[in-house]
Amino acid sequence: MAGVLAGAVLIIVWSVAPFLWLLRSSLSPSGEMTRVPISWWPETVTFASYADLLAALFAPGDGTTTAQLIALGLQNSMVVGVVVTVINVVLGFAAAYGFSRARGRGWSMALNGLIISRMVPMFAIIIPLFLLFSRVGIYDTYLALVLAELAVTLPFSIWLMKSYLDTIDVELDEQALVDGATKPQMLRLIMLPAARPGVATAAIFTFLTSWNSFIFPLVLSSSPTVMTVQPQIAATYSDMRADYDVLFASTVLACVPPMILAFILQRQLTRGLLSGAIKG
Amino acid sequence: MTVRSAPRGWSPGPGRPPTTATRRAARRRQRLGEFGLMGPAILVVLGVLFYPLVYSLWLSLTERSDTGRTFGFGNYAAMFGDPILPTALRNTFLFAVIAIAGSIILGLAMALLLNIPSPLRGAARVAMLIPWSMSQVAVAVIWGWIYNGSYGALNGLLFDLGLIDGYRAWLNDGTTAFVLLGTAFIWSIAPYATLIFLSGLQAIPKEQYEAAKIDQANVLQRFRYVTLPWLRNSFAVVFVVASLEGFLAFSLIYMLTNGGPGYETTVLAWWGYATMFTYGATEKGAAILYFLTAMVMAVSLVYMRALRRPAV
Repeated sequence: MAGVLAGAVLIIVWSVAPFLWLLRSSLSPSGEMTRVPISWWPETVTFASYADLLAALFAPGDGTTTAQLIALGLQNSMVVGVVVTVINVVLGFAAAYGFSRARGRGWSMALNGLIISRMVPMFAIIIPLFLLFSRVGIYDTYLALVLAELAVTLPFSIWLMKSYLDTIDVELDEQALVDGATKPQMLRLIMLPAARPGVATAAIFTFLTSWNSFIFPLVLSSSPTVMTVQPQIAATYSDMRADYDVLFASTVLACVPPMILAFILQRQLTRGLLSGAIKG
Repeated sequence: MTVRSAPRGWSPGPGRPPTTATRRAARRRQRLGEFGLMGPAILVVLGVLFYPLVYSLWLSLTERSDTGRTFGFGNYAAMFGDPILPTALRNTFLFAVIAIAGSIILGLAMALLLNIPSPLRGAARVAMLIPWSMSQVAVAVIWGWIYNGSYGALNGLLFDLGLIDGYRAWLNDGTTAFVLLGTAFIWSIAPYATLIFLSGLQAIPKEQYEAAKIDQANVLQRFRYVTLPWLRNSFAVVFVVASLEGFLAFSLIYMLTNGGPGYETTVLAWWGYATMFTYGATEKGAAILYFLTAMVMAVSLVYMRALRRPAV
């Protein structure tokens, strides 16, 4: 038993300590962070960087300070994430229902196409998307980012929701149609509630993926009014004159939404991961 | 919207069997609606995924010149002739090995431990969500700061323990950089493996272990003959996911080493990206990334075939 406890403590320390070090650094003034030898306990605790970031979030400037740049990035991530999630739920759920109920060679081939698309790494499409979006004139817009995120999230959402819908008896939808419900009504009133855990899981996974996405916005956006928070943090990180305290506070803030979602998702997590990996 | 009957609060009423005719009508309506349902999503996937995929292949097979584009394998020839290729290939496979070994060894160890009831089990599972949920950019910021040559916690720790007598720039040495990148990488992906293994472990019926105990099997034998066979699918999933992660590792390298020192941490993903966006060789970059894509897809196809085979 003591061994098991020690092991659990080890897992906790290993998982949490690096993040705690970031948190601690985000609460120290820059001068204290760059002192040698380093001190393990903070002498001064300051929330100044968080205050800067929050102020910039509510009164976004033109992106002249690091805090403003990151605040814009956080807002952009939120916009792109929400739009991608809504499209995933609406288009993806309809498609998932269709794939779950459709019979016929054509549809099963389309379904296989979806499975294959789960294996396409984003590196395969990043260059063509960049060239394409530049040519069409939507490079560095929300639209470009939304479309790119859809490429990786939509097939996964469809798969996830389909695997839930597969467990719902076909008799249920037929009965509803026979009783005079229209198709959209049946989908909304009968199927959506029945498949709610699957839809919620797909939505959360979509938002998580989009929020944490780095390479797409890195390549497909350039101005602070469009670029999401991940490439913005990366740019700040590689800037030699970076305000490290603001950088670390930004990183902590950028970790908050995914952590909350992961916590909510705990129960569904493994099922989602499994269906994403095995079926995908 | 015309409503034939109000379905608000509708529930499948018992004892009203539909006739064959109405049922057939419903089926026909369903068939007609199929494209309306799946069409939009399929069009989006075709447009943003399959079209770029084909476009990318075409790009990699063409070369620009003053007279226009010519078709051929020149980009692939340039890639295979590049002295960086063997290094990039070796590093890509090394990263995959690190990811697979780390996920399986650490992930399985953590899962076995967390499968035993203890007061700290819940807390440990929640703690693992921190690295799991984090973006690779955040992972890079955290570990880059720990590894920092001037003020890093790694330097501080080793110095306080008396193992080094001065702070060092750890990422300036190829081998050390590889080990440190690998550590950060495993930190961020092992929790995924743990979750998969845990769900596999929890699916094992308790009677299996009781029967094994009656047969006087010791801990190791129970692990070998009960646990491992039941975890077969979990192993396969972890294997697929970890190798894909390993093959496609990019963000940590982009942020911490830029593929260096020299080319010592250059992997295919980074090389392809840099070829295109740093050196502007679009077509060669497309060829490198297409080569990587082909490798990744071949690997997943092999695994998927293996997964379909019935359990032994």
